[in-house]
Amino acid sequence: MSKNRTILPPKPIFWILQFLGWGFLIFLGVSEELVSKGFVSYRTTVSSLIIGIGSILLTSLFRLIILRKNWLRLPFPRMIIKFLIWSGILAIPFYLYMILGLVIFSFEVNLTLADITSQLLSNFIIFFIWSLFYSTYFFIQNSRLQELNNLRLLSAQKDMELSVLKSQLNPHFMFNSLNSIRALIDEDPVVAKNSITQLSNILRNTLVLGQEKFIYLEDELKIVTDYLNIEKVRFEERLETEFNIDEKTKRIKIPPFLIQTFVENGIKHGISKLTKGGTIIINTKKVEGSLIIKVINDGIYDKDKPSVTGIGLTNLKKRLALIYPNYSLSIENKAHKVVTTLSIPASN
Amino acid sequence: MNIILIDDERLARKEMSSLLSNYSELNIIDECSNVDEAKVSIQKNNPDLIFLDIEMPEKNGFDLLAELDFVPKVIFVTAYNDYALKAFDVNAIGYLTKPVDPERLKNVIAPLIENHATKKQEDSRQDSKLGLEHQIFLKDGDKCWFVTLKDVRYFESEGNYIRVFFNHEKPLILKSLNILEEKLDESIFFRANRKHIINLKHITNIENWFSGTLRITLNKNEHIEVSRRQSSKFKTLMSL
Repeated sequence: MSKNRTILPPKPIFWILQFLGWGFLIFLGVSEELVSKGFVSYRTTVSSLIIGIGSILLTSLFRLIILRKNWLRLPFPRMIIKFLIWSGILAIPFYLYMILGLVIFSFEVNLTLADITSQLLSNFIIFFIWSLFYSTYFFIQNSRLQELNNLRLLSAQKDMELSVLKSQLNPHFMFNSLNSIRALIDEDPVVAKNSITQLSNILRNTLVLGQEKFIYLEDELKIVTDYLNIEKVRFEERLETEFNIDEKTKRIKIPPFLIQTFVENGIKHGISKLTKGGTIIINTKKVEGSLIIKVINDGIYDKDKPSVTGIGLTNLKKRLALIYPNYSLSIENKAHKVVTTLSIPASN
Repeated sequence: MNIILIDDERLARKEMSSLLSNYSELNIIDECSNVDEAKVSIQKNNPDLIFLDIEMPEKNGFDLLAELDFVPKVIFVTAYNDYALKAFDVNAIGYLTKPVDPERLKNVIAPLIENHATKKQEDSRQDSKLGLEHQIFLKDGDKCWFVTLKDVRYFESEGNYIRVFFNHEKPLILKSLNILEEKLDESIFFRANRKHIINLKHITNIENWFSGTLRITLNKNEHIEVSRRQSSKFKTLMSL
């Protein structure tokens, strides 16, 4: 739901309801006379038209005021008070307009105090009822959108869990790691044991943390570290890593596997494609209210070449858009390096 | 049996060589970590068999085979039986998945060792030319083929490329016809004209064409005109 909804021209449904609603009211007035007298007088016809057109115009203006002042976002009692006040205020010009109309068509106008009061009162009541209808419609519509958004978020979350699960259980990663560990058992049993621990950490985190909505950045970094350690066993001197973590960012909460997705992509599409390998650098810092995550790896980013397993990034973008409507993500090539920069609001 | 191991990961090569140490018939003569190294080593050492990782940086295992004129016996080794192997008929080749199951390795390697032992005497063709029984590896885009030369009907040059006609396929490969001609056994593969090299075993008809030239038919309806100079050469070749 966007916070700063600009005032859009009303949708067709608004006009349809306006015409139907006011038309129905006018029709009621006219048919009352038709039933009681058997005919409709010239005066009733003209004044009904004047009232009908005026009502539609004035309530459309009312809509603009409501939207411009953002009353629909006020707490309920305050919103009702605003509606009451403005229904009263608008009743006055509307009354003047009605009188003016009648005078123009040279009808007789009754200007007793009682008549003026009752006219103003009924205008006020009608406008107030109108504003209630309008806000009700708005809220129903909005709650549907909200619900839809929640569902979208949920499904993106599930997609992410699934794709993380798939990419973490990425058969290539898994079997290559197991193969390296098998060789390590003879060569360096201590490292082999460590690697098995790290591999089980990865599996466990994938299964457990994937369920969380948010985790601390420092916990995310543990996942990333385990993953990189395993990849280092495979790639040996071809993979170097560097962490520059701002202390202030460690307790910021982020969706799980955010940094991991960037790191994994950096290795899969960048470093593993280079005979000499390369370095992956992970930077985090807090700038004003934003958390900036920067992942830099050797390689070339080709955005026109979608990878076979490129669901990771697409999914991540979908998820980010739902959680942080104004996140910014850029992936750029800079001197044989790929720089991925993400900026999201920093929340503890 | 001389073997070269090709894998970009040192530990993966180590694991493979430790598995192969149980076979006294096998002799690992070299290990390579990328395609360029492997290409040089294969051309120099002429191995009987290579163990080839598919996923490698820059160029993959298929690229290596496509760059070789003569392809030794290959066992593919891959972490996962994935799209790479689906590029062609998996049953036609040997492949192993990592980590390698020693039992499966035995099944793949035993027939090769046996085969090698019986063929040893006639194996004097190391530097001879490519004959009917030789296998070549073709790669066109994402598709790959192992082709025995006896199945190839003819080669046709298309600019810097050659189109290879065999069975129902005709992939395009990046090679020059002149270089190919030098490598093929000339008693089987005949240069018919500027554009074509034909396999003599596939000829179904020969007819006299204009001004002393010949027209050769392969496989019912593939007609190739033989140039004047090559026509007379063909006649002497055939008039034994």
